[in-house]
Amino acid sequence: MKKISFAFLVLLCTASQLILAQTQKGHTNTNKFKQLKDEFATPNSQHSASGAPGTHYTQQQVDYDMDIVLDDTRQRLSGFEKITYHNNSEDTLEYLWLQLDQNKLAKDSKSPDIEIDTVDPLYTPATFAKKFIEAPFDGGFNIEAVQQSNGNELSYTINRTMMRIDLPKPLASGKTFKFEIKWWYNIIDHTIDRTRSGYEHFEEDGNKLYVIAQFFPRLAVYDNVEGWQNMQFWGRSEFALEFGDYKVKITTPKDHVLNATGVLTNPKEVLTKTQLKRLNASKNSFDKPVMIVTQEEAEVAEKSTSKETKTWHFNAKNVRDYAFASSRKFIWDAMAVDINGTAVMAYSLYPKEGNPLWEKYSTRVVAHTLKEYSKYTFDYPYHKAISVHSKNQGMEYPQICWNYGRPRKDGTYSDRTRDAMIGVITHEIGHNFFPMIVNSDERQWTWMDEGLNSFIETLTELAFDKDFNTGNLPKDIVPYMGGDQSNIAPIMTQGDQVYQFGPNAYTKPAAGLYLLRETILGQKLFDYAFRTYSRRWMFKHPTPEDFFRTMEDASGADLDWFWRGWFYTTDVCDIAVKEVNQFRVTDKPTKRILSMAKELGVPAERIRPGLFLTTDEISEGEPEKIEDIQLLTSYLEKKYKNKIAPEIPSYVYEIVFEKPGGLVMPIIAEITYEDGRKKRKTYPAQIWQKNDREVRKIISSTKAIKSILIDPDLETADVDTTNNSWPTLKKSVFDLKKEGFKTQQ
Amino acid sequence: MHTSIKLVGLGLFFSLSVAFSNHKYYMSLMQIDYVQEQQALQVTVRIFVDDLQTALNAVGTAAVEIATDREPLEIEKRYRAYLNEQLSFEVNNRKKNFVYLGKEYEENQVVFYLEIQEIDSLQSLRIKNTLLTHALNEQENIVKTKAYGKNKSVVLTKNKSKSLIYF
Repeated sequence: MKKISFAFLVLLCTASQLILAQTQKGHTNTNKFKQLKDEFATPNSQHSASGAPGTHYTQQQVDYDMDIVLDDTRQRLSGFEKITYHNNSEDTLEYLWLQLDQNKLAKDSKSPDIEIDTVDPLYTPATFAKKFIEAPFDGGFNIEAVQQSNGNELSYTINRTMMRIDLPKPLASGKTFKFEIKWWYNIIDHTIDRTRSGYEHFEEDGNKLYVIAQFFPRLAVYDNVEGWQNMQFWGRSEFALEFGDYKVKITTPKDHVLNATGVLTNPKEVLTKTQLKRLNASKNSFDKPVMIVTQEEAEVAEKSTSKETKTWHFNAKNVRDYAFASSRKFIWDAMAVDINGTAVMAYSLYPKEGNPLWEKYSTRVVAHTLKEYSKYTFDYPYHKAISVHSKNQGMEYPQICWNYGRPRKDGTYSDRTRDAMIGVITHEIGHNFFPMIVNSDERQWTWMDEGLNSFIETLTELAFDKDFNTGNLPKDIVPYMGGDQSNIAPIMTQGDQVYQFGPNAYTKPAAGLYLLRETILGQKLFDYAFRTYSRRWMFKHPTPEDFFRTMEDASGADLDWFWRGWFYTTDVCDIAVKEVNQFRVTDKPTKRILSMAKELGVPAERIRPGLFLTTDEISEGEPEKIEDIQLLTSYLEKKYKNKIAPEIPSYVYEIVFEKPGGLVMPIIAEITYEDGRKKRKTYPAQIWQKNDREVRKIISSTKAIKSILIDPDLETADVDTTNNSWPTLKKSVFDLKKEGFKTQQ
Repeated sequence: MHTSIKLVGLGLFFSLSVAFSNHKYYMSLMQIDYVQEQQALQVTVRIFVDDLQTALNAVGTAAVEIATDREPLEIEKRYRAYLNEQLSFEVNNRKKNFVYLGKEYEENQVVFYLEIQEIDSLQSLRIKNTLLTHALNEQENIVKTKAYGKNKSVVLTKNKSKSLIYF
């Protein structure tokens, strides 16, 4: 073969000389596997190169002591809060920024102004009046006092949903600053205006069900990533918040049932003896919920209105936010959950309108979710998790969340309603892990909590019911990814700028992580790395790089190509079988080799004896079968003299894979042989490193190949599966369906 | 927050709000393949079940539930009528009717199979698709065509419900 190799060299030299004749234009590295050095922030002593918190990582702490009054007659919430701000950073601060989320509902809010209007085909009188006749809701914070504990007023400036407090003197590193704010606001009907916090009015009994959150001025995050995270709250991109300890007193009508973030410290004052007894019993009930307030009791309570009040006391340690739900309509059930030997309580609060669906599923789904998430992350560190029934929203806060899922008026419900409810409870309870504990910046990156949470939600739902339609699998994201590019943004886009929010920030990251776990890394490597990320950043503020880097650092896989394609671009996966060529093996020089030899002036008889793969027609005197080629058989006989020789393959194929899509992905090829047996071969994504468009594989077998199918289980979000088969399917899915419909008729 | 793109009630859309949603797209997908050997345009339409239910109830007189045990027996009739109202095709500048072959439910989607027959060649296709856009402002109807080995696609919306494609 030496002569032929030399011949190749000559050919190559001639070719490159030809190319050199023109002046070449260079280019930078555009390889899909190029490292993300340009995209990633440089590692530093707070966010290290391994993806772990750095040696100088710091985080501010903010403690709140609040006195809250819920006025059920006027739907008004008022509060007095004492805030202790701990400057744990190494910087000196001249001012503090607070978030005033309620101002999104103020009369002068700019959120409605940036909504793009379209003329609706039909308006109900209510929607018409709201849009064109009625005055906007009188919402937003009324700030009555901002002062130091000694009563001295503090200078402050409100910039819409953000408030800056100018410190009387700069706050040095390691120091604390105490101040107080007094405020009130009108509570909105969240079922009409579709806000996360508010009440629902029940026409039949005249009562209200309050789900209250984002209800107090709270500190923005200060860190060395954004400085002050004081981007405005337009309504969509959620929150960036500091951890701290809360002492909260909430005054409600006496006949209300309330629950909230934190440990209830005065149960004897606010619960009846019967309720307390049942609550204690529920702490030992690990298999089924115990009713603390029954439906019968709730139905009695909703028939009257108490003029008296009571005050609930809570203590919450190390939480990033605070929320509560209150109503005289609440039914309350509870069960204990065993999280690796620690009992955690799962609660549900719901009005009779949620039954019989809620008593059957809610608390059980909470328990299941806490257990499953703990497996993939860390043991749930709080003492409870509450699912509150809310007409038409799902929303999460520390230890408490609102969930939809309401049966029909007659108490029946469809499977869709049931599954949507199970899905949303799993999702919102799951948010306790992301972002309530692994506390990413939601204002900047929606996907960091929604995407990661939707991913673990998917695993949890599949553990609950392996056939559950999660909507988050790679096949589910195909319609979005294969859609109109002008309406798609990369996942790595700030939340307010994202087109198609749901698929972008929830489904695509979830489907991508599912793909990474099941198809690329494997469950073991993935789970170790994902758990490492979760534990490293518990009660801390991770950035996207911290996630990407940890996943690589802990799994030993270079995944820059995957992050680049899936998270930083809108490229799609499309891999095709372009052609399949069958070869026969011969020991007679083929036309190809003969012409090469001739060109180089090498006489045919000087070509070294060898084996050739060819599609030339078989000629006289050539061995018909591979077993007849003596050159090969004598080699094998000699090599395997006293051993069992491997079977000689009768078939050799060249498969040409092409990649019309921009994403690189493993090639999963399912080969079906003539005898019906199937074999699966996965070529790692790195096969595309040197050729991004087309790659060839030569495979041999003892049996003839009948067909080849790429990605048979729809694992890779391939947007066009019509080019995934060889030979091309004669009968399309459409034809088969058409025949099916005909036979039905 | 659990997904944020769902319209509740007719004609009301809150793009900055939370919502009841089992899925996260406002999208239908229409695949049109020209199969020369069969002289036919094979049309597959995929629509989310809850969106279709919202849309049917926006135009119909009697409210229906679909793909549940309360689905009315004569639902196919209603589907045919709805598709005939919302879809129309002109092939080579001539209006063509389609044959409704059937439907199936696939997880939370309904898939319709339609066929436009007797098409011996394909030069142009004008599509009008107002599926769901009358009830859902953000609805996008993606139309993908495949003919003579070439793929073309358009996105139809409430403001742009027609498209003319040349082959």
